[in-house]
Amino acid sequence: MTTKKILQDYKRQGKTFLPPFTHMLGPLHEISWVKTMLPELVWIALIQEHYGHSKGVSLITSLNRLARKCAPSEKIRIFATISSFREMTTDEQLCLQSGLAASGELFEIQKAFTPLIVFYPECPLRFLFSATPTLADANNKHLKSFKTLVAGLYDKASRNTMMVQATAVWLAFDSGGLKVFKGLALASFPEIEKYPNTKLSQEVAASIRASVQMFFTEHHYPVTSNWPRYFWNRGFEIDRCYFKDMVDE
Amino acid sequence: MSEESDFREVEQLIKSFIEEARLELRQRWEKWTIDLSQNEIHEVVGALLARQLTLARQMAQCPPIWNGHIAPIILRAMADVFISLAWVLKNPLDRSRKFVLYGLGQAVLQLEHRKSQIADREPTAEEKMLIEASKAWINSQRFSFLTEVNVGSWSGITTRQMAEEAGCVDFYNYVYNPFSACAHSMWHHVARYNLRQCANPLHQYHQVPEDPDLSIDPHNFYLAAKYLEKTFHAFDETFSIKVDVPSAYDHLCEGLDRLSARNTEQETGGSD
Repeated sequence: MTTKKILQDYKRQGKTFLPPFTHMLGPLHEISWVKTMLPELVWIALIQEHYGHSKGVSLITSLNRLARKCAPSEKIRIFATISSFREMTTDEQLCLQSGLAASGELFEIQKAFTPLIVFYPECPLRFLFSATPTLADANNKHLKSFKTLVAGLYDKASRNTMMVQATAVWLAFDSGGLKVFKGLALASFPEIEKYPNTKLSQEVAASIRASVQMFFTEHHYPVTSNWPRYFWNRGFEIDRCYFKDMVDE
Repeated sequence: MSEESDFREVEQLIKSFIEEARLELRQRWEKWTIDLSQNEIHEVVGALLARQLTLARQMAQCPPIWNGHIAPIILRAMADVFISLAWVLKNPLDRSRKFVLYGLGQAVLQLEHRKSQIADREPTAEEKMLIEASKAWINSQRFSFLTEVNVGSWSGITTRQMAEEAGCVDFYNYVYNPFSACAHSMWHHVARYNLRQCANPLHQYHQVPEDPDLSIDPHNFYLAAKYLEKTFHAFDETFSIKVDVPSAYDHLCEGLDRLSARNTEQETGGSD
């Protein structure tokens, strides 16, 4: 019945068949979008959800420029991940907080971050608040909308999630940490605004998705960061499990 | 299978299947010319045929296990019996002996383990009896001190190679291998049957353990009957045996078709 051989393009090593990709390129260390990148970039999503893409990018850019100013370093620093803010000294954090207060942007940023700090009190961005924030009334409402936001981020290629990643890449451009050659898809970065409606925007999006990985290399990312782990485990403390056929109590 | 009458009909199908399958085995044994100079062949082949019938019968008698949790364990054991038998049938004398010697070696190994477990104390009367009975069973066939212990596979090759040599590699690929996942509780079985996804995005859509109730699927009974039929057929072909009793498998198929047609008719509101 069966004549066609299977796994023909695999490489046999003893009793293991290696897929061509692994065999040719060697083992790769995967950085998980969900496990690591999502909790690190969720702050961008919160600001963009609160203020829309255009004003969101403007606030995020201000925050970043000020963070770089408050924490000068020989190596180019990009404050794209939540963990990168934990690398700042207390003085640098105070400088950033007062700088944002002076520009009148602190309150706006705090407003967007409130659910994050309320639900995740050990968040490295907690220093932006002088006092622990509270959520006025229905915790459930805020939790529900935070869950919806996080749920949307699982789809790495959705428009909203693409805008989050594009903003992170933009911060790399803005800091001078990323330069691209003319002719590369990423050189047409502004086209991402049209995503997913044009072919070029889709190409730019693919490049952005690939570029986001750079924030998680040893050069930019504190490998000892425990934020993603805290973020996910904290989820069990703030909300219970739900199953499809479960009746809401 | 919601109607009382359906249950009664299935009960009747099970009863007939068992009676007819037993009759089939008996007639095959009666029609097979026994040559005691090569008794190993008759005992090994006969035992494997009977084992297959036992497995099929046990499946038939236990509708609550006709589900993805348990049925594949039985079906995988049946696939094992079929491949072993098919491989033995390609060289019956040599391979039957191999099968017996390997089994005796395993029995010696078990006996030695048991003896070592109680080496530093006096065995109880019950343990003594068990050890003696086990020794006697081995010695009645071959002196235990002459029996080799082989810790590899009984055939000296893998089950896949046995299937290839016996011309049933498709059966290995599509039956033995898939059912192994359940029999050995491997990830691709337990993840599907014993985990349930939590819909909370804050929990990373993790999966939590569960022991789900599964509905009864008569297809598992059908498969057991089919593998029994396949085993009988391999035997008949090798030894040119032709039985004249009704086929338990054919009857079961007719019965299941009848049930299925009636249920379809009821679902679609067909004429009465």
